[in-house]
Amino acid sequence: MEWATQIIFTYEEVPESPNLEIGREFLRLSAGDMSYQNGLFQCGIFLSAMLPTATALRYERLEEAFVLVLADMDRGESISVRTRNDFYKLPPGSESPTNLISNLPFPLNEADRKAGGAYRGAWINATLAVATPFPKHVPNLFIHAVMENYVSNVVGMDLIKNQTVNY
Amino acid sequence: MQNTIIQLGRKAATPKLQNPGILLSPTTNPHFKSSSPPLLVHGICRIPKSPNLERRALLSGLTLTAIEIYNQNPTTLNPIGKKLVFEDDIEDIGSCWGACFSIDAIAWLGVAIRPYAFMLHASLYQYVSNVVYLRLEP
Repeated sequence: MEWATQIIFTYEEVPESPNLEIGREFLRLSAGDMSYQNGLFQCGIFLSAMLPTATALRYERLEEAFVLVLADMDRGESISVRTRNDFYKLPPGSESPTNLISNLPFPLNEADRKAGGAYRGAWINATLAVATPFPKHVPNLFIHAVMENYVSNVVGMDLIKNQTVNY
Repeated sequence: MQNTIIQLGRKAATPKLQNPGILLSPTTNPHFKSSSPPLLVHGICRIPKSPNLERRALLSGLTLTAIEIYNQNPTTLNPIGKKLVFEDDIEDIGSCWGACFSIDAIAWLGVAIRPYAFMLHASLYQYVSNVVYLRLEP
């Protein structure tokens, strides 16, 4: 299972970006503009994130620190991608190779998850395209986002009715 | 090679799960050193029975994702692959099917240059597990 085309990420809030309850949920994912034709599935992905500042400030570019995981249950295959545009290269030395400013504490400080304090966010949009055979079960494609130990809701894709199922 | 990464069956350290979902247990020794015993992450999943779901195919969509924390690069694995799953690998738990598994993190993520650290989680259908933080040290 591979991405059918180059994924281009954009990082601004758009009308489709999901709303989230700051402090009670950290990542929220939604999908739209689905199509399934000739074995090619395409959909728009919209991720809103609002993380505790202590977590967000660990990254030079927070919006590039997320990972999207797409799993095909019918075929038992899955793929993941970091939300970074990797089709361009900046001159050596002009950006941090790790995107990580300070190391993560071990173990992670769970107090960061408690409500209250300051939050810092990011919005990520992309169009995903993947070749997949006609589904035996619906939904058979599931996508979620993750960053450190923060996990988003899961979105299931019903390729027959061309609609998403939010869990 | 993939078949050595996952073992099916309940172990003493397998966590308990009351509701449908998937759960990984944090390892007792997450600071893995080269002299340590194998770094096993134990997991359990519980999925409601459904006429659309075949018992032995319950785990075929199991997905493991590890994210390397320094550069946030992910790697994803479907550990079942062509591994044979028998009827008794899947347990009947009331109205659900359940399965227990253990993942050998070093067989999958072992790297020559350490230290390395990973955030590991599992997903199956609409269920996503907790995230386990592993450090591999020299």
